[in-house]
Amino acid sequence: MDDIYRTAAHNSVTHMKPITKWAGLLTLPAIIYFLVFTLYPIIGNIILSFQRETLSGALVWTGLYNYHTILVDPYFGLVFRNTIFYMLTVPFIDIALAIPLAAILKRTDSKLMLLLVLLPSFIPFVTAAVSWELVLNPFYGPVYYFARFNWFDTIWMIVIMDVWESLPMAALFIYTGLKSIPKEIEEASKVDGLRGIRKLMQVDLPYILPNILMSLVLSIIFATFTFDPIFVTQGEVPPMSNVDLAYYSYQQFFTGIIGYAAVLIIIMSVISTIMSYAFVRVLRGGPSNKPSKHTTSRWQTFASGFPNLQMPSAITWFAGAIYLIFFLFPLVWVFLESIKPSAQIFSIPPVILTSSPSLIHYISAIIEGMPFLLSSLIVAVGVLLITVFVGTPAAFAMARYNFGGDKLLVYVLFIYTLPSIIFMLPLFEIMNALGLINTMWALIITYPVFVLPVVIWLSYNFYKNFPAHIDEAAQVDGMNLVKAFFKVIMPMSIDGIMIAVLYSFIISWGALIFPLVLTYSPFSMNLAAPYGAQTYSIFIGATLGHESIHYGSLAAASIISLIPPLILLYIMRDRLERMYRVGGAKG
Amino acid sequence: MNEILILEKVIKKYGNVTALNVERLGIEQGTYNVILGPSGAGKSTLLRTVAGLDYPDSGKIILDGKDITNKPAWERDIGLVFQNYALYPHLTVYDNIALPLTVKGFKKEEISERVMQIVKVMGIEEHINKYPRQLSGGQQQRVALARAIIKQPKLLLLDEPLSNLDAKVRVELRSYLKTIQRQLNITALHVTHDQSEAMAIADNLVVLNGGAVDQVGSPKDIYENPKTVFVSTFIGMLNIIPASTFRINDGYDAVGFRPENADIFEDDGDISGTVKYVEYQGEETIVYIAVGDNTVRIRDRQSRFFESGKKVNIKIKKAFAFKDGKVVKSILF
Repeated sequence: MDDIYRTAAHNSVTHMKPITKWAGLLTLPAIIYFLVFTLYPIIGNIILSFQRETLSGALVWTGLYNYHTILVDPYFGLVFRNTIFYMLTVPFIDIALAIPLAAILKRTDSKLMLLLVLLPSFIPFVTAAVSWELVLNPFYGPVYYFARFNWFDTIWMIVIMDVWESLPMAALFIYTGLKSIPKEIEEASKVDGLRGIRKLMQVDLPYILPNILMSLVLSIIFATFTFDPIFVTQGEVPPMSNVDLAYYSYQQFFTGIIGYAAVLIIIMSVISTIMSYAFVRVLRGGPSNKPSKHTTSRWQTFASGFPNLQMPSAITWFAGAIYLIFFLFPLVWVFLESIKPSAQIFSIPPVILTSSPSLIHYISAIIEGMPFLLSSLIVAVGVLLITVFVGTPAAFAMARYNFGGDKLLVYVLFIYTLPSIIFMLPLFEIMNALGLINTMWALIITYPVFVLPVVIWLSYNFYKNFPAHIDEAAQVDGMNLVKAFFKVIMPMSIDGIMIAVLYSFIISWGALIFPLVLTYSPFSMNLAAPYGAQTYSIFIGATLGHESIHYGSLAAASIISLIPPLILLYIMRDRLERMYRVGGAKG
Repeated sequence: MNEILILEKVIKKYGNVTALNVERLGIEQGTYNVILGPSGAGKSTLLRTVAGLDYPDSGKIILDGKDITNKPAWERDIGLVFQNYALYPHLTVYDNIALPLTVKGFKKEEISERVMQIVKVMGIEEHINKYPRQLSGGQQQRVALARAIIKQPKLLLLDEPLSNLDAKVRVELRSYLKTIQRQLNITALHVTHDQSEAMAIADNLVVLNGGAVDQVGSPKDIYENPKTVFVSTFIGMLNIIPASTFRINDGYDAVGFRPENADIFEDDGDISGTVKYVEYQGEETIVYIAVGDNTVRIRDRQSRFFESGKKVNIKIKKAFAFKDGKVVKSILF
């Protein structure tokens, strides 16, 4: 193999004693962070579950009291049922809709369509939930005209929001799988006479099975720990009707019943660990090496029953258009809502196109929202700096020098898949002890819990394909590995890091649980004694929503919250396919 | 003459580059045909237009009397073996081979019968439960071959089928290809850039150069009677020296001769030169001799050794006279 093309993927160096020390140095900050802010909380939850908060706020041991509470809690059954309901409905709707969508995306091969489809996954979930809430309002929303039904009375409302938010990612994983099918396989199936649906069933779907499983698992994790839409709809739906474990544990924490909240979180930890395990297995596990028990598979027999026909182009585009309407409808409505004068917001029947558009709501969303906007921006930038300077060196050491081996990588992926609600209690305790509650510091320090694994995983995949001779040259030129990384490697990887940076920003921008738990007031513009750090997601999800019902400003604020994700999508437009072509998905 | 495949005035361009420009090419039923040429000569383009994976800009492709020029791949009666096998990784060997038949709507029993029959012929019956990744390169290529011929196509296309294999397996499999083709009486069209592979298995050799067919014929015919400078140098080694080196001068540009068609003498010869160095190759030596400004290679069957700088004479038994890139005359001395 030509030396120039040697990359970490082809050349994992394992027996290099002196270099290991330096690789360790690059990884050290990330490891310390993970130990303190992820491993400790996982253990901390267990400790908290045996404790109770007294009236004075002190924690005392109570043995199994909190666990016993499950048995006498009148709501637990309902909450658990709701959780299972989300877990079973959303992922399967996702996959059932994602496969045709992915096939349509591949067939139409339209980049614009891909970007529009992806939009929902990139916008803050709070914004998505709020948009649907406005759409599904039977009196003031557009459903008044065609589906006047009390959506607020049904748990399916949450399912719709969940599907809308998670379907694009599921489709993207499957779509990149379809696109990664080698040209020769495509040509072989052409020569063998396979077309359209038959080819999809007999060749494509079995080929990309790992991609499908992966998006299924991610979907299950997403749906099981649904939080944002439940938070947003509180106060407008019948009490407790749609509450799941994630929201319930937050509610318990909020009312000061910390021990019981810890028990609920432990239940969720167990569920999510099982799913993380499945995720890592699918992602890292190659295909099995055993010959099949049968000469022919049942799937092939089943799949060969499908018609060998290419879908007419018109039908494909028509189906694509229906998907687009579903994805864009709430955003279009929110935009229309945001430019209506106040008097038209609460009219029955609802006004669709206002005759006198006004920017009044934008002005108030910016002026009233300014403290929230500032917090969100400052925190997002702070988190971005931490995650990039801690995450990329670690990812490089892991990819190039296999530092930490499989264990570290699997741990990162494990944290990647854990819902952030799991870390809520111990992180609150830590920040409380440090006196940082209701400061931006609390958010900047804790957000990397869910941002860092994403940054490491993205950069890890980037560095797996980074030419090995570059740091070798730097070493020979007299730079130690740490110096080589920051002086040579990092400047050369701007391209890959850029994506991680933007991603980091977007995740921070849309975060809801941590700011809810760690802050309680907006940033005070009093610079002499600054305090408060509520974020723009809280402004949208609570302040304007169920706390005050300012639909106009709410719509305008929602539109404003779309700006960073739109910028990200625009910058990433040409690399989407490559980014999600995660390893391990090939036979 | 029973030509099963005919290409007529087939032109394929990529942008401004003419990748393929075939005036006429006929392939006879039941023969093993090898398309040979350097990279960029249009070999793959030719194969892909016949397969229906690319379409020509103009011209006609006729398979068994039917015009298939604009038919998609799945409506052509062809089988194709890919360089990297292109087996379906998620299917067992059995399912890989059976797939083309399931598409054609054969009954389960008939599929099973035909698959079992072909795997026996191919010598891969013990692998039918395995997945492609569990097989060696040579075994995978046999599976690919089985998949290509199970539907009994009118034409078997092979796109550099041996290039991904190591040298030993390559030699083994190439004689196997020929055997299978004979046994099943298929018409094969095999693309390669490896001239020794081409010489070894072709009934009929098609030499492509710059998208056009330079010469068609049996390997022996092409080796002995090349029509162009390109063919004579691409197939076998050739020394080319200006015609003026010889006393004969009938307006030729140059004269070429093969290293084995000349002998070295100390006293008598057609041309003389100085030994540069000698390559020892066991049963023979290749002697490099400077003749004027050119260096010629002479194959010496007696494995003689010559000192560098020694003056020697070369006697040529057979040579080609070139003019304007064409062979205008074979000269026998």
